[in-house]
Amino acid sequence: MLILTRKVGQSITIGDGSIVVSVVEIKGRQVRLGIQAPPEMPVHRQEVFLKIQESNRQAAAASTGDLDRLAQLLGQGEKGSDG
Amino acid sequence: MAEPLKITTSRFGEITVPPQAVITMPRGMVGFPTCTRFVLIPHKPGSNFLWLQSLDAPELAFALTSPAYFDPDYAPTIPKNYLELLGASDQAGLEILVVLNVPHGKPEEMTANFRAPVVINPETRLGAQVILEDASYPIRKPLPRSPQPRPPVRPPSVVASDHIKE
Repeated sequence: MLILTRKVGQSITIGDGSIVVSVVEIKGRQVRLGIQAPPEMPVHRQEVFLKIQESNRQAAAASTGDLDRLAQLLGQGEKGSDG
Repeated sequence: MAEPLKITTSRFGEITVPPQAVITMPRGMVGFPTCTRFVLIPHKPGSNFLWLQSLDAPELAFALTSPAYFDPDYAPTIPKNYLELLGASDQAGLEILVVLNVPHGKPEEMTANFRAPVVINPETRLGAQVILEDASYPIRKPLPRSPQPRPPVRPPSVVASDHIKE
C-alpha cells in the first residue's frame, strides 16, 4: 500500500487527475476528507459498502421455496387469498 | 426488432425475454458489478414479491418487494449522480423497490434493505442499487411487529409479466 503524508488543505490525485482526495480537517482521531470524482465513479464509506455487499450475497441465496414460505407466513396465500 | 433472449435460470428454468423487457443496471448490484442485465419476474400471479433475475448469471436473482410493505412513508431522496445514471431529470416516476433477505428455513426473520433500494426508471429501463448516505435507513429492516394493513402493492410498471414465457 502506498502511504503518503498530507497536511490539512493538501490533496492527492488518482488516475488521470479526475479523482482528487483532500484532507479537509483533522479533529482528534477523526479526519474529514473531501473527494472529487466523476459521477460514474461511486464513492462510499467502505464499511457501509461491505455490509450491503454481504447483505446482497445472502439475499441472492434465497430460493423460490423460501419466498413461498414467507408468503404463507404473511397470509399472502396465492391460492386462498382472502383479499 | 432484436431477437428475444433465451436463458436457462436456476430458479425458473428456461425463460424467453424480449429486448424491451430488459432492465440495464450499468453498475450491477452491489457486489455483483459484472451482471448488468436483468428482468423483473413476479414471484407468482398476484404476489407482492418480485424476482430481479440476472440475464448474465443464471443463478443470480434477488427477491424484491415494494417498501410500502414495511413502511408506507418510505421516501428516500435519490442522489443526483444516481439520477444521471438512470437518465432521469428528477425522481418523480422512478420505481423504488427493496431487496429482501430471507434466511433459509426462517422466513419470519426476513428483512428488507432500506439503505440500498433498487431504483428503476421505467422510461429508460435503467436501474441502480442506490446506496443512501442517510445512515438512519437500516440495511436490515425487520417487518413491523404490528404491521400496517397491507394493501396489495401496486405492481411496478417495469415488471415483464406479460412478456415472460417459462
